Amino acid sequence: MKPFTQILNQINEQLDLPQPVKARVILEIASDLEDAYLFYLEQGVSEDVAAEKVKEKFEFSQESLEELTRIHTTPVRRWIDKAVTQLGTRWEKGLLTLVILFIAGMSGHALLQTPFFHNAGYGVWPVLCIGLLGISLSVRKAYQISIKKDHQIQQLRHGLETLLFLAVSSLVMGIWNYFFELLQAGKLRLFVDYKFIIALRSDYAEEYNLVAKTAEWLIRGSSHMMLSMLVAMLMALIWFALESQISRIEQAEYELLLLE
Amino acid sequence: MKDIGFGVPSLTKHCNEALILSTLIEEKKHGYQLALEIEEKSQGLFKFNHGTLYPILHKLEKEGLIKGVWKQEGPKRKRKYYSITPRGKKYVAMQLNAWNQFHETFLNIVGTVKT
Repeated sequence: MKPFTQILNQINEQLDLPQPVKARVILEIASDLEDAYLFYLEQGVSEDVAAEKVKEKFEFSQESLEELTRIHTTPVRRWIDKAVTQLGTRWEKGLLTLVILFIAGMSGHALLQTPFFHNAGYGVWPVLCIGLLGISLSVRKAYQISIKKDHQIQQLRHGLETLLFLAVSSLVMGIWNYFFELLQAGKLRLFVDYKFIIALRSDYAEEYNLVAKTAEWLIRGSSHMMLSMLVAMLMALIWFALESQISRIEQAEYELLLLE
Repeated sequence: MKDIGFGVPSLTKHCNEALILSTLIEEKKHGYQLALEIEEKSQGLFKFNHGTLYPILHKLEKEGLIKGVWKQEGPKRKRKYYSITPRGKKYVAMQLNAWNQFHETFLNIVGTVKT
C-alpha cells in the first residue's frame, strides 16, 4: 500500500469528516486502490507504471472531496462526533465521572431509603423495562466489540442509535407519567352533557383533601421523573462508552491501514 | 420524467446513476469492479475517475438506492460491496424510461435536420 500512502494522506487531510466516517471512506478507497494496482500488474506492466496508472485513475479533485464531505455530514452526527472527541481529556472525563457519581449516589440513597417504587406506582414499570432492554442490548454490544472482537466495520455501530432512542423514550415516559399522575390526583373528569358541550369538572374537593392529593402527585411525579432521567442518563452513558470504544477501534484500523 | 428530476442540466448525473444502478442489477460489486465493468462494456466510452465515482456511490447509498456491505476478505482485507435495493430497481426503471423518452425526443428534432 506504500505507493498510495500519499493519495490516502491527501484524502485524509482534505476530507472534513469525523475520523470514524473518514476511516471507512479511506478503507474503501484503499481496497480499491489495491485491486486496481493488481489489475495493472496482471496486465504485465512494471510496478512503477502500475502505480502511476492507479494514481491517475484515483485522482481526487477538491470538488469531489467536498461532495463526499457534504454527503456524509448531518448536523446531528457532526455534533455527536464532536462531543465524543471533545470529551477526551482527563479533566473532562474526571469531571463527568464526579457528576455521575454524585447523581448515582443521591439517586441510590433515594431508592434505598424511601419507599420509592411504592410511591411511584405502576408507571415505573415501562421505564424499568426500557432500562432493562437498553442494558441487555448494551451487554450484547459490549460482548461483540470487547470479548468476541467481531470488528466488522459495517456492524460496529449497528444498534447504537437504539440506545439513544431508548434514552429519549424513557424521558418521554417520565413526562407522560408526570401529567398522568396530575390528572389522577385531581380526579378531573371530561364528560359531554346533554347539549353536547364538553366540560371540565373537578370534584375532588368534595371527596378528598386537596393538600394530601397535591403532595401525593408531587411524590409520584417526582419518582417517575427521577427514574426516567436516571434510565435516560444510564443509556446515554453506555452509548457514550460504546461510541468511544468503537471510534478507537475504527481509528486503530485506519492507522494500521495507512502503515501498511 | 419529473419524478426523478430528469433534464438536460442534470444529464451527466443521470447518466452516471443509470450506468451504476444497471450494472449492479445482476450482482453485487465493489467500487473498482463497477468502474472497470462499465468501462469494458462501453469499450472505453464511459470512463469513471474514482474521484467522481465514490461521491456518486455514497450518495446513492444514502438515498437507499444501493446498499453497501463490508466483507472481510483475508485476515486484514475488507471490501465494500454494493448491491441494488428494491427502491433502486424501481428508480433505475424510471431512469431508463426517461432516457428512452429523451432519446426519442432528441432524435425527433435532430433527425429532421437536413445536412
